[in-house]
Amino acid sequence: MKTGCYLLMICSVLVLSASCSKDKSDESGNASIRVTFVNLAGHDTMQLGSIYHNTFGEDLSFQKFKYYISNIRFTEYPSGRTINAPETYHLVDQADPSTYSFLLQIPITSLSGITYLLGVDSTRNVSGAQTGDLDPTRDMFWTWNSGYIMAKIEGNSTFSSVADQAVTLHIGGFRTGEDVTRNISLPFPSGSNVRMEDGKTTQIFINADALTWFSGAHDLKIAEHPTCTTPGILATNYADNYTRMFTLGSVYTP
Amino acid sequence: MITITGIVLVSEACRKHEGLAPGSDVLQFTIPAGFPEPAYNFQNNTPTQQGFDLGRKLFYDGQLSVDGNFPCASCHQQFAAFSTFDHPRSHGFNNQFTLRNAPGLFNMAWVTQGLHWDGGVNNLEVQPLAPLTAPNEMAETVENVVNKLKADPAYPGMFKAAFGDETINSQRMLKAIAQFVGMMISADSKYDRVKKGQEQFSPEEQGGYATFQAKCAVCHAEPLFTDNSFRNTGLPINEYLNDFGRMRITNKPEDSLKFKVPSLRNVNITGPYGHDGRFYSIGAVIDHYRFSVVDGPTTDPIVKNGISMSDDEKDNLILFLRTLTDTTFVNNTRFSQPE
Repeated sequence: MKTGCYLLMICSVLVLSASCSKDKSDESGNASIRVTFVNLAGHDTMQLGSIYHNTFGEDLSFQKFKYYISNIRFTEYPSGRTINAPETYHLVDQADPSTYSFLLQIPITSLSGITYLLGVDSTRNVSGAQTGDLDPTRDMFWTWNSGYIMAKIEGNSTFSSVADQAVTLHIGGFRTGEDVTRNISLPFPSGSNVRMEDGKTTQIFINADALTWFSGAHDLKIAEHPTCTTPGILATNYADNYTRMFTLGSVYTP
Repeated sequence: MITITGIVLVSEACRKHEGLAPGSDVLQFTIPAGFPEPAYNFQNNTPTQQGFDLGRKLFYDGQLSVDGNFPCASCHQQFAAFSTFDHPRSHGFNNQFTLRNAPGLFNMAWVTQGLHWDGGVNNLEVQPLAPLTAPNEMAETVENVVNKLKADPAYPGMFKAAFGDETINSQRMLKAIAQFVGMMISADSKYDRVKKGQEQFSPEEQGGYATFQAKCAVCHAEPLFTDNSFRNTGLPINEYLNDFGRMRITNKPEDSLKFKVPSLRNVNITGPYGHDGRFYSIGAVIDHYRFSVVDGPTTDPIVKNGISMSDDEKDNLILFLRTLTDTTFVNNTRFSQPE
């Protein structure tokens, strides 16, 4: 039996034998933060099925746009201390607006930035059967080479040379040398740190521009790469591009 | 009175703390003498009789396949040490075949560097996802299978007994199967009893063991009879299957045509042999090493010049390898189809 169990037994016996008349305090010292992702195609809010164009003038309509957000932490102001949010593995799925935002509870303080991992960390990729947003039924787990698809685009383009003019970008890989997870750090604009308040929900909006996948660090034209479904250099090239997918929107406590 | 109640409440709390269902019976995973620590240690998946029973039922349940015809047990047959008897590659949905030979399922908790011939599966718990979703194998989706289990009156009670409530999801299904398969330990062959001093090899078997230790044991290392590494043993490529093995996982040219060293335990009943089952007898495998190794760019240095031995040595080696059959395991009704 584990040490924690022995401590639990000892503490439980002490509690049970003591008087139980003391009231529990309501104050946890925590407040809520709502993080909302706004999916864009360039400057436009993304609509599945609508036609957009990347910087090469290639057309693209999105059928799927999904990505994992995890390992969220905040920068405290003014200490600069890192505050870890409770363990979160969240799948943003363009097809399901209920996934665009989620709530976190942390102790009340002032914040000057948010940092998170785009993707699922390597430990979680090798830790066996998972549930919630990490459930393989979310269609983001490779069965033949165990590991998560960190970010996915599926769509159609007249510039695609493959069947159904499909664009299929399943970006996965977590091992050294083929890691497509990316640490995303979004400091709040200078002078605009936000103070959390008891009973209020601080709002953080983050924009995610899917068209950044095709250019930036690497030119990845749809005509040349309509498909990426294995770990490797092409996947890490997409990851280098989508590192710059996120920009901070508004941050405030109402 | 309060203290007794406290202890009962606390022991239940401890079970919840460790994620164990109330009233469940923990199973011991006994490491056989001489075996190393297992790589899969059931962390966050403590094996219980109830979890094992659920895993066993799932293993034999055709509903995990699209047309009901392909439970895990259809390719993993107990009388063949849970390989597919007498099939180079196994049957799948719609008259298709698998790409590779089905390995026996024993001592899976000790597999390192990934499961499968190419090491592509990194945790025992997620292995079933591969055959379950492969269109040429069980041809299902995880979501569909979970829905079938939810609709089957036999399952909610078993999930509750194993995991504490009637929630049925893929994680619990996979953990239960891992509890069942993970408990399949094979370490009671004649070889094992000889090692313990309980039996003796015949002179021929003893001679075969000596040949084995001299010529096979680097890759097929005791007591697991594999070192879990990936090696190219000089098999000419099958140009219909075009299976490059480990390279598909690592993308490294030096891994081309490398496949995981299979365990030789129970080898007498797990034929045909090789990643694509191209050898119909143990003798044919030995003759490949003697006479027909293809010395290519990634062929393993240990075998590239062949492994020579006389016909007598070969015969005795085969007799030795037959001593690796664990009939206790093969006949153990604990792992058989539930009534």
